[in-house]
Amino acid sequence: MSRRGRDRVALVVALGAIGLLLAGLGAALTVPSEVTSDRPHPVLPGLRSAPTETSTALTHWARLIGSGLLLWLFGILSLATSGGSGRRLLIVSALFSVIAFQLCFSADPAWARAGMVGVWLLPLITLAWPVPRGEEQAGGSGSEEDAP
Amino acid sequence: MSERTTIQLACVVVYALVCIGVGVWSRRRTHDRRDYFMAGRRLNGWVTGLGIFASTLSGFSFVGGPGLIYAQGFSSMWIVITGPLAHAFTFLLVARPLRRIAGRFDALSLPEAVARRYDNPRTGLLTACVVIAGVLGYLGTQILAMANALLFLMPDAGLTLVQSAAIVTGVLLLYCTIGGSVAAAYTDVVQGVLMLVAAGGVLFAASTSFSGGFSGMLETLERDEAASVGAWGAFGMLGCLSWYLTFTLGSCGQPHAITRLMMTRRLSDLRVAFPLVVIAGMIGGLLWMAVGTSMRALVVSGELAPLASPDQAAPTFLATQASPLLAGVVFAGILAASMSTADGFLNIGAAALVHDLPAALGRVSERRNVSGARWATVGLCAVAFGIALQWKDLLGLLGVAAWGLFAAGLVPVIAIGFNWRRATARAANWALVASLIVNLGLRLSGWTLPHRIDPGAVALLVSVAVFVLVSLASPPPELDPEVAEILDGD
Repeated sequence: MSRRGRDRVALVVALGAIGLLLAGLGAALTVPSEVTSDRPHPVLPGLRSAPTETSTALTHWARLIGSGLLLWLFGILSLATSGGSGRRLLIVSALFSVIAFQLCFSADPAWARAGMVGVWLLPLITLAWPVPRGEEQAGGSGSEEDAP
Repeated sequence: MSERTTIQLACVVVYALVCIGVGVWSRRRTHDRRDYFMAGRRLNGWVTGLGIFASTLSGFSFVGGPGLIYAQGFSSMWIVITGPLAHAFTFLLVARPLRRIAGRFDALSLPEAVARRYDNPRTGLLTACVVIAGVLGYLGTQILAMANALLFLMPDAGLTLVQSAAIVTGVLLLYCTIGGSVAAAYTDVVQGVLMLVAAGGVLFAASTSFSGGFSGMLETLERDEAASVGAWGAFGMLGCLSWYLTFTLGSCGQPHAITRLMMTRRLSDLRVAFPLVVIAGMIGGLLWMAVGTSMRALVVSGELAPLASPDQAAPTFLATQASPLLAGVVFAGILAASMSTADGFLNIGAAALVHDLPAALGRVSERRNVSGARWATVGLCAVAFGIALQWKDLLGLLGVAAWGLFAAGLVPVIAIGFNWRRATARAANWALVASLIVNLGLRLSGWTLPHRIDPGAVALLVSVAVFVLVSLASPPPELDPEVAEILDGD
């Protein structure tokens, strides 16, 4: 990636961080905290249960923040690419991760878990990342240089 | 002493002897500070990979993690599922430039590599301060976790907490001071393998602990409360997402793990280490999920009584569902998980004390003086030991804050700054200071963020934004030509 390209990515990363902070603030201001509070299990001491209330507004915020977060993370990772197939891998991985993330909001817990598994495993695509050339280094001396 | 306790104790004693043996073996390979702090930069991909896996997975993964699943359902799975993406950050974003700068300038520590990158000793000093603050918290937490594990293992031995902590700290100090980072790296191989064996055994035991296996557990838990085994559990969506951020991006700012990248023989070794860490981490994550889910299902179905505290989930699982041999291996695995994290911290903490702080004050590091490094290791361990036993409140604060402290402080400076030549030393210093203020400020104030958002995530977002914006607002830096060449290389 060119120097100017990296400058642009860095600026987007900073704006993304600010956007995520603002979205978190928006959620905090528009949805009461009690909505998130867990509660004791009705029978078994020590276990916690999910909140009884479900807030549509909070779910919207979580969908937005989570999707933005995933794209932001993959955006930072793009600083390591030199373009080409590496960037394509990133885009594919990011888009499928966001789709899998949306499944996490399913009312059916099995689908929700499948979404989590998707968010977990889809970044494995990055294992196929092409390693840049010129990465071999001699070892031990401490003053090693890249091999041609 | 019961037969079960004897077998468990034998496993732990054998493990401790192997660690000490590796320490003695490593002594012959430790001649100067490059050997002591950087393992002579001779580690291959397997040793590096297992070392990063072992030092990342602390005792919390074996004990605290299952406890979280037991208490809250699947909420903490958002920490578990960070693995592949988190390691992608470490290996794709950080490994290459960090290893190349470390090799080019013969850097003996992370703060020194940072100081070289930014050509600014103050940035190195601030990095060393963040490292030392986090190290004390983490090290003390690990010592306490190991001491409690030993007490649980030998309830009839009449040991006090101080005696138990002294025993485990003694073993740790013995191999760390004798063999430095060489011993830490190779004991991590033993510890990593042990943890994988323990995790595999526990996974099998968990799958057979409940009628119908994991499907049976999930059906039982869904009948009790479907949301607990959905994606968010009891903790809440935004809290889970903030964990995901802190543990995904934050992992490439954990100094005990990424310092291992500076010790590799060749960059190409990381091609082996990357998939190894990812796969090993996934197995470790499954242990977290399996034990917690099994215990919650067993309690919900009435097969076991409710636990006194969530942290009893793993020990109770071992006592009731595992054979004595497996329990012994897992107890040794718990000690290994804590010790492998602690030895990494001892190493980087000692380097910060005897190498980075003097360098920041203008004193030349005595590279051949290993005894000074050994005394620093002993001193650091003694301070962490004292904090662990005397100031538990402070320890709790530092322990909880440490991951976020490293993440917010080091991620922008290293993960972004080592890939972006426009980043400036001033921005790095501002980001480091902002991370400390936001992280410790939020924790010390006792203010709970709305919707259980993790303070570490907020500090990380703030420090990244500060870092980039201050860089863009500063004049472009004049880089050392060698650094510029590394940063520009694709």
